[in-house]
Amino acid sequence: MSLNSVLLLGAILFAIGLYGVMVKRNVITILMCLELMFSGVILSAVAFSRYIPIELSSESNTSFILDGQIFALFIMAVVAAETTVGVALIICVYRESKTLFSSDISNLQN
Amino acid sequence: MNTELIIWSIFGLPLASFIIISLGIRGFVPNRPLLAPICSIGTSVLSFILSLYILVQYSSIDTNISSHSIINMSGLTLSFGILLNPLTVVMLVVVTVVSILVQFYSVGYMRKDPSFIRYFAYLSLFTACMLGIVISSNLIQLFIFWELVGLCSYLLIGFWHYKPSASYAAKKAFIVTRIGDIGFLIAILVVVSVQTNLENSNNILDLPNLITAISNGVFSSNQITIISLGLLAGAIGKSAQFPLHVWLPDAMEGPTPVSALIHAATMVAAGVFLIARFFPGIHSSIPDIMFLIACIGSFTALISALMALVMNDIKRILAYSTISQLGFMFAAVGFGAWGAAIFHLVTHAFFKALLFLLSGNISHGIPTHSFDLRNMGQLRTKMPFTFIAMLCGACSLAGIFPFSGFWSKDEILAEALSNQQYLIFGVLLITTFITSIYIFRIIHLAFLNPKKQMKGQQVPEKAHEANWIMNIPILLLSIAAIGIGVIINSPIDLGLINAHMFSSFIGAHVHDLNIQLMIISTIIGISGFIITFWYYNYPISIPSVLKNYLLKINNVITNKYYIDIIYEKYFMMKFIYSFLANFLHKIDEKLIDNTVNQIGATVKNSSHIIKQIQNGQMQVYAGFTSIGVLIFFVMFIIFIR
Repeated sequence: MSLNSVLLLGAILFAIGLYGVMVKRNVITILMCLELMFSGVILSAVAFSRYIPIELSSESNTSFILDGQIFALFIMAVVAAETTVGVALIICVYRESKTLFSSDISNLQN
Repeated sequence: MNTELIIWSIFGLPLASFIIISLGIRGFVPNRPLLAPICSIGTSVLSFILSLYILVQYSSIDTNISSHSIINMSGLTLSFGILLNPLTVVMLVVVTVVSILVQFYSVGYMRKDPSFIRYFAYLSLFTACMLGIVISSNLIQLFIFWELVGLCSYLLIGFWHYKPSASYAAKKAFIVTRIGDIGFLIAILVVVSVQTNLENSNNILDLPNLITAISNGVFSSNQITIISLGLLAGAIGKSAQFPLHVWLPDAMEGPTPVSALIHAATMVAAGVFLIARFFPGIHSSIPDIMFLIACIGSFTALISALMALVMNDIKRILAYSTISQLGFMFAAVGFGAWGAAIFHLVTHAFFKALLFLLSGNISHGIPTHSFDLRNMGQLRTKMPFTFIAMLCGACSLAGIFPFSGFWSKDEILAEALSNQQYLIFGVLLITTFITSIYIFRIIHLAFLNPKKQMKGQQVPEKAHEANWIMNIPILLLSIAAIGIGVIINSPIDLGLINAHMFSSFIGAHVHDLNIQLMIISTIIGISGFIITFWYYNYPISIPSVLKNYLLKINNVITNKYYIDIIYEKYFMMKFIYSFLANFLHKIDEKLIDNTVNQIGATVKNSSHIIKQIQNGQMQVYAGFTSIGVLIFFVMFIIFIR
């Protein structure tokens, strides 16, 4: 499994998420698609850190930096928090306008 | 002493007075209005003394004064300079003298006016600008001062601007003279266009160079024609000659001393001065235009004298009389007798200023404060001083020996004869006769006690003489009206006074003594008095057929030959307002407004398309954001890597 195929998978995940964000009407679904986009990004980050070796200056052998994988954990935590806030907002909006369709929630325009 | 400095200070002193009065006195000590006339008369007196010095020392001073270039453009230099010749010197003296006397008179006449200080500021500015015209050596410099005196005239006619008639008259004067000034401007532009193509460095905008260039054939004959016609148009506008004479009678709405200074003695004579400045040098190349000038002058002299015959307002009579006398001067310049024209200009400046000031005296003295002849009458015993001064002015205007008007008018007539201009001579002789009638009509109706009175005439019960401030200038002007003609230009040697002093000083043609003509013109002048005396004291019955005929003529003349009506109703209303303004309005509305509106509408319509994006749908925003990021990404790949 090469880096390219993993990155392609990440890009597909991101694209599917983006498509969903742009097209789906239900706000919950949009939130879920957002999760998909995040997954794509996290997958890319992990893949980079897994596949790209970095030469350390002091020694001749190559090693891997785990920055990307640690970063993935942080992103997951933040996304979990973000989802909580997002769902809370959606509930608020639902209480206000009795709808979950994104096309009906446009009264911030004015 | 430095001649150039003297002449610039002759011009600069009244200008400084204007600045001091308008900025200093009006701003800081407005409660001491008498400072204004002290300042303006003081500077005028200084200017007068300096002018007199130049006049006396003229033969010994260096008249060649170089000009200073103000603006340098490629091929065109605007320079300010002094053209000093006898004509300049004579005009300097005349303008300063009349200005001093009129300002002095104004102190008495305008004493109770709330805008006393402003009045003297304007008078100072006018004096400065008029002196500026006189000394100008450059066409553009001349034009600047020419327009500035027009502005002063406008300001002073509209001095009582709260009177609708005054502001209307001011506008009329300004616009009508401006029509002539367009001609002046065209003449200047022609000279400028030739100047920019000229090889040598001679600045032909300077007047002496211009006249040399014209006689050297630098200009084509068409250009000379345009230049001289343009200058003529400017002169006609300023000097109120036919067909632009309509503004001067209305200009009498201004204060009377202003009428005396600007609309009788100095500014209106600027047209004659302009022609006398230019045309002697280029006379031979444009005989047709000279003849045109003579025709316009004599025609104007005749028609305006006739109008003066039927008017009831004393100032209007004098205004028409001024137009008529300026017509005399034009006619004289037209047949080459510019020396006689300037001589008449000088004497006319004095006696006409006198007559105007006297009309102010009368209006000041009678209870109605009106200028209408119907409110005057039998003033001889009540205002004896005014009456005697008026007689001097009237005799001078009518050309009765030996008053000053006689000498100058006689010189014009003699020149007409010696130039074989018999038609013009005849017209001018008839005009002399009419002049005499209308001026003695004023004397009879206002001062004497004729048996026949005007319709609706109400003789004032009491009247008083003016105070000494007003009478001193009148006394001096009366002396000038009696004596100045014979003193400055006597036709024969009088021991102390050389013959033809004036003519030979300004370098004009000196004509021989023509005794028969002198006798004839004096008889004509006196016959005007006799006819009016007879008409008003021994009323005759005119046959009714003749009377109807005369009434019709009277009607035409009283309506000013319908010229004003034609100008206002047909030219202004029909042509300018209905046709031209309408046409321009259409262009404005349809073309310009529409273009702008279409641009606005296009923007508005195209904004509808963009507006769709801002619909509050966050998914659409997200889509555009993604597309934007994508575009940046693609650009990054293409251009950066």
